Amino acid sequence: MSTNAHLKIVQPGLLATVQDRGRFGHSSQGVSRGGAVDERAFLWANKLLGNAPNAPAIEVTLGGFKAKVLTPGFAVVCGAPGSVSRNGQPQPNWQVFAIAAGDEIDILAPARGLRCYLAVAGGFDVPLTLGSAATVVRDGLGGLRGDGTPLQVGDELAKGCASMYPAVVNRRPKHELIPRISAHSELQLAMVPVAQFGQFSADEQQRLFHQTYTVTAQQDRMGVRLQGEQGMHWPHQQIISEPLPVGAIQIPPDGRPIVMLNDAQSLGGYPKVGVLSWSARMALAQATAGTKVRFVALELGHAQDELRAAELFFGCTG
Amino acid sequence: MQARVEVAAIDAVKVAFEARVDLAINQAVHQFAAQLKQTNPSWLRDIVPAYHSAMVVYDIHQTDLLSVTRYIEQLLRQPSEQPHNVASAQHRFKVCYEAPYAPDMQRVIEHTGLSAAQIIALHSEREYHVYTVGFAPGFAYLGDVDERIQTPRLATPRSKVPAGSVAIANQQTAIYPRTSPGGWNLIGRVANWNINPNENSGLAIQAGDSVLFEVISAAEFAALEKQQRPLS
Repeated sequence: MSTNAHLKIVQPGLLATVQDRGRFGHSSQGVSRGGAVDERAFLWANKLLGNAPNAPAIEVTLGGFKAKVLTPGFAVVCGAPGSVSRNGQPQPNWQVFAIAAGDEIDILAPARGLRCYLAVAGGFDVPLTLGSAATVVRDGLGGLRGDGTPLQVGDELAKGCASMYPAVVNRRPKHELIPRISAHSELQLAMVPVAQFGQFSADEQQRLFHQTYTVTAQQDRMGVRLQGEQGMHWPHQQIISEPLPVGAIQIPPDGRPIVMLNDAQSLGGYPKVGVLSWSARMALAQATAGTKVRFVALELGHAQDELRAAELFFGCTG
Repeated sequence: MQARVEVAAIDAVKVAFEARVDLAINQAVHQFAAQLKQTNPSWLRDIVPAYHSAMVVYDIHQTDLLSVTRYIEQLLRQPSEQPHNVASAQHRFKVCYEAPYAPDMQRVIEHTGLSAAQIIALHSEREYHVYTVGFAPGFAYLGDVDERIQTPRLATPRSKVPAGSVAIANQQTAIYPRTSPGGWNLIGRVANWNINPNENSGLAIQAGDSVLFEVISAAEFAALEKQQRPLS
């Protein structure tokens, strides 16, 4: 066991993986981007701790997670509003707290949403695979062992040296900046029409915007299948496989959209009608099965303004 | 060759050539990708070449759609001075086409009416072009397979194809980089196949490269595999 271990996994829950912003520049080798699916929550966690924006953190899916602290430091949990506790005492999420050797951190299944991020001051020191710590199970790349396996009972993670500023206990975002995850209201998903959108008939295009879709249980880090009353019919021949960006909305032969997330393959052979805006993708990353969603068209310029502002805010430019 | 630039994502454009799976078109895609890499504008974040298109990811903090489009259109208009200046690598793999590594050889024999020896010769005698890499890390789509041995996919995909399996599906051939489900016809296995990102492995195959297969016997395959095993 490593001598400088900071945290030991007692119980990983359904799926706990080490993530950073992802693996860039290797798509031509068929490598998926990977990285934190709710990148906004991940970036907040690092920002609150004073870490560099790309410092590796643990993505916890649907709670059930328990870890033991081995050395003192600071931590924060951002993302889905799961109940977090330290030694059985409730610990507000989105708020930095001090951790001491022997502490136990529990993250229970969230009331709303899917994923939260446990980050520590300094980040986790995880060997980089093709330039990134991101765990992509289907690619067999990244994570603690470098082979894409998720975190397991007994895994020990060392503290990294990604601190830019000293961590401050109780630091949290202004209330209005914490993204809200609603289980009731309809989610508006802003998307920029691209690719084969124009090759669908006007009626089909209307169909995309004028119906409410439901998020299905067929979803993972690769993508989310949506269910709508009317499928979209592709009137042409099969398309030739082409690069598939994260956030792309694909229309498979059954006409029901699949929105691609971080672990999507680098190429896809289904027609695409658009790509989600950054914040729409973050919202979908937390949408549980049954969530109602509606697509809203957005101009590219506005989508770029939003992404640019977010990257500037979190200090991840260049 | 004519190409169109269109929006692919919030921070990316797609450069699309004529929509056909064709060697010359694909070579134009890789030629363009190489040219862009060579000029290496500061806003360039990534290039993803596929069959007839390539996605170019740009830094939205440095540039905008209009500038990127103009830059790419100008590049496409430039006659490439050295048409084959594409710095592509050639990869060689030793393949055993015998049982038990060729479970679909019989199927290919029945479909083509050729003997195993003929199929092996036709498959291994040509240099394949890497059209693109996708589906999984290191999964290189190689072509074109000799028309005489082209065989359609299995009706029901296998749930488990061993890593290193050499397979054909219609005009394409590939090596399965990792043990995974798959519906292509398995006709051989690469000796000492590995996909370890830290070594010189199958992951080194890039779109635009070329691949050669060298026929080895089951005995040679066994000897090579034994050599690779670390001493215990």
